[in-house]
Amino acid sequence: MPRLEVLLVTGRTLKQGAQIETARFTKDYEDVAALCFMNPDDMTELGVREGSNVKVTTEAGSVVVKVSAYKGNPRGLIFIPLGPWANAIIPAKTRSTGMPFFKDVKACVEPTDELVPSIEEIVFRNSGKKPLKVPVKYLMSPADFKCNDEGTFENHLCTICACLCDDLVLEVKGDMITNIKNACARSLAKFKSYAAERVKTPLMRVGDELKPISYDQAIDKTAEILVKAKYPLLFGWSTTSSEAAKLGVRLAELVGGIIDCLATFCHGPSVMAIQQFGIVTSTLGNIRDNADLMVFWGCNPPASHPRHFIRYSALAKGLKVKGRADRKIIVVDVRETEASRIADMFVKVKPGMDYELLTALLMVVKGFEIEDEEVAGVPREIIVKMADMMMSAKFGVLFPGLGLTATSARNRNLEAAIRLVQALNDWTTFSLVPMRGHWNVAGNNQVFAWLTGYPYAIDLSRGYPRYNPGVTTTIDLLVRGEVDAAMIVASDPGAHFPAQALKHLAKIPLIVVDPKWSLIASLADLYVPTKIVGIDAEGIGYRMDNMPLRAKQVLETYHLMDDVTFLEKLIEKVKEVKARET
Amino acid sequence: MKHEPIMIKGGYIIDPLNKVNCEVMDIGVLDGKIVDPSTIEGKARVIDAKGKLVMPGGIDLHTHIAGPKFNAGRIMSPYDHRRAWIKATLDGWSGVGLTVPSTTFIGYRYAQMGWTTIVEPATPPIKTRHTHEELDATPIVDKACFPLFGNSRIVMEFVSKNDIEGLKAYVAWVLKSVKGYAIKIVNPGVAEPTWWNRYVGLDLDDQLPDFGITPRDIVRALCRASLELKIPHQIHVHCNRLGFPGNYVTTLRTMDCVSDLYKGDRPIIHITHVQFTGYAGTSWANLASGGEEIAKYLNSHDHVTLDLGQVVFGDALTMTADAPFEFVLFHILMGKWHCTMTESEATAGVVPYSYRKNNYVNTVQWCIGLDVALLTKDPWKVVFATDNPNAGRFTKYPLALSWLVSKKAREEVMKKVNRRALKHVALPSIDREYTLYDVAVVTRAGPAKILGLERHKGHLGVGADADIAIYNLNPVEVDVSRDYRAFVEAFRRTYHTIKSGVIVVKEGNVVRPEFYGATYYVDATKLVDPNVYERTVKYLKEVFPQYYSVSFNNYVIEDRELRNPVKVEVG
Amino acid sequence: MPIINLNLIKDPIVPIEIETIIPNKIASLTLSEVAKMVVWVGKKQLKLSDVFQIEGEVGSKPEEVKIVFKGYTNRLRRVGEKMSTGEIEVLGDVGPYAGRKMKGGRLVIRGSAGPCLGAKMYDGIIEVFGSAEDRVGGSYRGELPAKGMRGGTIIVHGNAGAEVGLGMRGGTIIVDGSCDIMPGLDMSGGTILIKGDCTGKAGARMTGGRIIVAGRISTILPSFYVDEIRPSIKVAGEKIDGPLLVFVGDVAASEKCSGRLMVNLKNNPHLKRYEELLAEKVEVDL
Repeated sequence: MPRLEVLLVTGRTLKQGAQIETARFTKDYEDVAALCFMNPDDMTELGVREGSNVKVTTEAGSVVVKVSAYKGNPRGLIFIPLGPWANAIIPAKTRSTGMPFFKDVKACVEPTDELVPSIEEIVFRNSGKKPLKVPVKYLMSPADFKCNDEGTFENHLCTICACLCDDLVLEVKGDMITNIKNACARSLAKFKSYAAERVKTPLMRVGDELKPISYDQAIDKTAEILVKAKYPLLFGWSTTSSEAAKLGVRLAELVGGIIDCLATFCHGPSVMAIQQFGIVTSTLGNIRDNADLMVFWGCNPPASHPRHFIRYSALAKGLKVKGRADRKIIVVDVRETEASRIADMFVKVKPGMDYELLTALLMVVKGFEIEDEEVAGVPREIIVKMADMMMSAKFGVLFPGLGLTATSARNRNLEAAIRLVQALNDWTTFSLVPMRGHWNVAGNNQVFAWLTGYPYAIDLSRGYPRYNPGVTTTIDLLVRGEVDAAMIVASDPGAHFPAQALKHLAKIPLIVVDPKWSLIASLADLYVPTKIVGIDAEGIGYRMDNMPLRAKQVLETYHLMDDVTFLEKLIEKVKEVKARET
Repeated sequence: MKHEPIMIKGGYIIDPLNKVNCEVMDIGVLDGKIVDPSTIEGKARVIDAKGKLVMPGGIDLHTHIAGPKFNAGRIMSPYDHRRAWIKATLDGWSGVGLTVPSTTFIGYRYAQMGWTTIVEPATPPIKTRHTHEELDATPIVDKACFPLFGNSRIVMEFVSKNDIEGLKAYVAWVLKSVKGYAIKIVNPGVAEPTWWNRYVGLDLDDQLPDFGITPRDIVRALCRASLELKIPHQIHVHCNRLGFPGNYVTTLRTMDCVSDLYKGDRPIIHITHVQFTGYAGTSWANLASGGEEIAKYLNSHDHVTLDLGQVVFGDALTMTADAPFEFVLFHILMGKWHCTMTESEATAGVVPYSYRKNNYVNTVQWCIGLDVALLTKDPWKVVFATDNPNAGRFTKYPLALSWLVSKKAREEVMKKVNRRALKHVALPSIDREYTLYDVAVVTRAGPAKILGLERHKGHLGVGADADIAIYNLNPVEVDVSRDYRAFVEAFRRTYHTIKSGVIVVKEGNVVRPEFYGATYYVDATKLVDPNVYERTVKYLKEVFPQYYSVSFNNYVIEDRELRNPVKVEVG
Repeated sequence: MPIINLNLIKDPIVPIEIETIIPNKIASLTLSEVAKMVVWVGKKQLKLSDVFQIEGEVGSKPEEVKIVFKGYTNRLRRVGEKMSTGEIEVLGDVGPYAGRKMKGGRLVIRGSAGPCLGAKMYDGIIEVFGSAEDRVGGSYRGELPAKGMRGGTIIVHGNAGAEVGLGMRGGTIIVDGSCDIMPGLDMSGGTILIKGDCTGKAGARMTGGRIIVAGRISTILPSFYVDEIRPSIKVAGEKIDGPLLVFVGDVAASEKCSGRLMVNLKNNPHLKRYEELLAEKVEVDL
């Protein structure tokens, strides 16, 4: 059998991003996520065709996915979209940063006759627990939604990615969202399927059955589990309002748990870098108006933040810089992407060598000589040219993505980027804006910081905040198997966590508070449905540049409780239980 | 607000706004207000304040406690949070931090010292929703915030067109929309987000490119707008060239540039953290105190008030909307540096700093604040503050105040500081000591008056808000000038703090951690010509998509987003 | 030496913070007094005897105390934190923060150690027979350079994780096996000896001290300049045979380039070009 040694990179694709906003327990999800993009030459060498099955193996395990040709990948590099199939083979080691190896994993690919596991199978394999299906009678339909005032909602906030576009126009008629303007593919998917995979009532898992319970019972049960646990984990928060996150901190300190948000494997390393060196940053409006040089490093906005280019960056019309023609775009990545195709300069860096390249750039800016002819696979002349472009820009901006925070040196990559940007400010004005992922993940960091001093991964087991990524980060805690109960709020570890971490989560009492029946909900011992901020609930979120914005609601769902109310009641219950204890 | 009546019996009252100096009186409290004690006699819970000092609750009109840059400071200082913490209880939140504490810790500690009203002095309007979220999370104390106007593109446009009416409408709209209290001006014109690192050190009369105006024009226009809108607190100015040797001249010129607008009633300009803008000398090597000149100007002019920005030795964290200054400071220290450009409005910076006693510059800085405070004859023109956490953290107020009340306390410090520096300042030759009455003026009555809150705050007369601090200090028996340690000890933790008629601190411990105060904001739209207002709002709606990346509607903060908003309506 | 045995029979699942059980604090106590001492088990405070089976005897002076942990020791955090004398031995793996801020004495771990082993250590000896995770001898999050380990010795017989000796300013770390990326990050003094391979990025942002990599290293950071070739070097009384290629740096952190990174040339034939570069440099100098 032919085998190919490769490097595995995972990441977002537009289709996968849109699909998780629609429905997850479908064949469609498998079609967009159980894929392996390969260079056509590699495929020839391996003797596989478009759509054949291959088995990808890493130190963490192996998974069968379908091959798809992609010329943009250099040889020896495969790309698998984020999702449970990728998670099956992501090593859960984090180099003490909380960030597992989403990128640069040594892997080998071989053709296989085995079938691609279905979504249920792969979740079962990753977690070791049987995912359950919600009986149809508990599912909501569009008829369960009401609207208080029909009409057109302008300037509506899109609560998906951290672009937090606030120019959506929603038309609401006859208790339904009938039309959406200015939406991207992901947004469209979300607003069209707001009623899909929504559950009417809290559900409890009894064996392999789901039993409906009331919200009050759910609150009692949750309080009991959390108070009884010795080291509970409260994870999620990034796709709900800041109001909920505040209550999350309160709950965590009352039950003596750990509170962590999605930043832990998104831009947590960026936040750690800010702790180390600070940052020079700017709001996106300022960038749109003035930036004549944009560097996209390890990010691909067309896939992850579909309207970023149009609204804020590459293609946006600004006050001084009128559009694409007035701007220079540099893209740094390990593979060609949608973003690299529109770039003036594409710098292909060797996987895992971003730190070296950033250091070399800093050396040029500071006037030091580079002895090597090539750094990180990039010739010296190109590095000098790139540094020249950065120094001679009137206003530059660097957008680091997961390609920088999840590879090799993680937070140290970002530290190098921040030092570079700080040094560039001696020559010109330069800023750095991390491409935060979920719509309120930046808000979580803000809320946690003002309540506890630390931005994420906060251990409140002693009643006061402590923090150390690598020890108190979710993935590390789960891999070491140190938590004994978990509550997941508004996030889907089933789709994000490496299998090794998910396995421990499935073993302990697991409460899931989420508007949708997600992959993690299917493993939960207790599932509590809530409302979606921006559709049937409202709340504050922070854009990737920490711009606070308020999402309004357009529909009403009467039998659901929103997570803020749920958490308020839960906190009261926890206080009651604790008061009884003492 | 219905609460049980309280009677504070037999304390020594210091209440400068009512000209009460150390008299033994009873104070009655009912439903959050101060009432005639005879009306609640017998029904009230009695606090025995015999031999204790009773003052109105402290007011801090310039303390960075909330908002995007303070939170940036928090994120940058994990080392700071390991030094102090409190545990969560069933009704109290946990907290951490010394220089940049978490919100709850800020509220508790201010209350424990007897301060009941605090003001965040700089918030970029567009991110004020964040500031209010933090203020709402700050327990016990009353709050307000000053939005930044001095580097706003829209303000500069109005100024360059000399359209004061339009500017007034804009200011009134912003204050109402983002729930701000007064106009804050920081390094006018220079810290604009697109050129903040290009014109570092620009002076009051230097031309700003793009608009053909000078910082002077901005200050004057905003001062006029503020006066005509009758905003309770005058313009709050952080001068140009802050942190540059020789800048006291700029400060004097800034004070003077609006003197002709003074009508003889209320002061019209407030110069903030004057210590940072009171440097004489030509370089860091020969830095000297400009405090004497500033005090001289203050003694002969009534249109100015100022706060000190008093330095306290030890760790601090500089944070300001004056990004050019932080840019310079970063290049001196080469450590951490946070800088945020906020579209069309402001640029802020954060750099950790530490004041050292043996350092020449730091010693001069320490003296300047005291020079100004002690040489200014009228304490009503001076507000005590450390520009927390820029020059020192607010928890050091008792110590810093002791330097005002006791020459002995100052001399103790002067023994340990840089000797050479003491030759370039006035402090060693100053004998003046503040009385406790003066202390009450610079920490309570004065700031209340300057904020325009003197009807309800800063005094203990009938009808005032029942914000009261009772200190374990017998002002008759203890000579604070000699026994300054007793003063520090007493002010560190109150005997009782009462906020809005509720006992929130007992013997130094917070007993009502879940109590939340109000947030004040100003609505001055009534004083704008309705036609001009309409025209301005229409204009703003037009330019918004160009100047901002958020829509006009989402910029506006509604009343219901705040926990306890209190509208101060003028006109 | 009298030995006190603490046996963790049942897996507590949650971490146990055991920082109070160090020789200085238990010396001259009776067994029953020790049994009453309180430790944090997750969020709960429990008596030591509720968690451990305790036997043996306690020395009367701190330097005569030896503590032995057995059983599910992988759940223990902060073993030997701030200990300044005596000995602690762990018969098994141990969790994060072992030997944090240690001031003296001896800490022996028969298994592997979690992250932050010997963080901010002042003095003493730590010996790990298994592997150690990341940030051996490191500083805390968000601290400026040179706030890590100040003195003492850490010996890891297995492999070490990333960022060995983060912010180190004194003392010695010896890793018999290999290490992950960035040994000597932010270091300003002291010695790190890696007898095995290093994944790369060695010495990032270092401003002093020395790092010796005896095995393979894939690449050298661009901010290091090749300086000389040495036949051998002595570390902690041990001779490391070369020839060793000596680099100075990190120029991106400090222009003085006072950090030294030494790499065994024999095991790294792909670094041959630096030898040529060095020859050219010498010519230029002549």
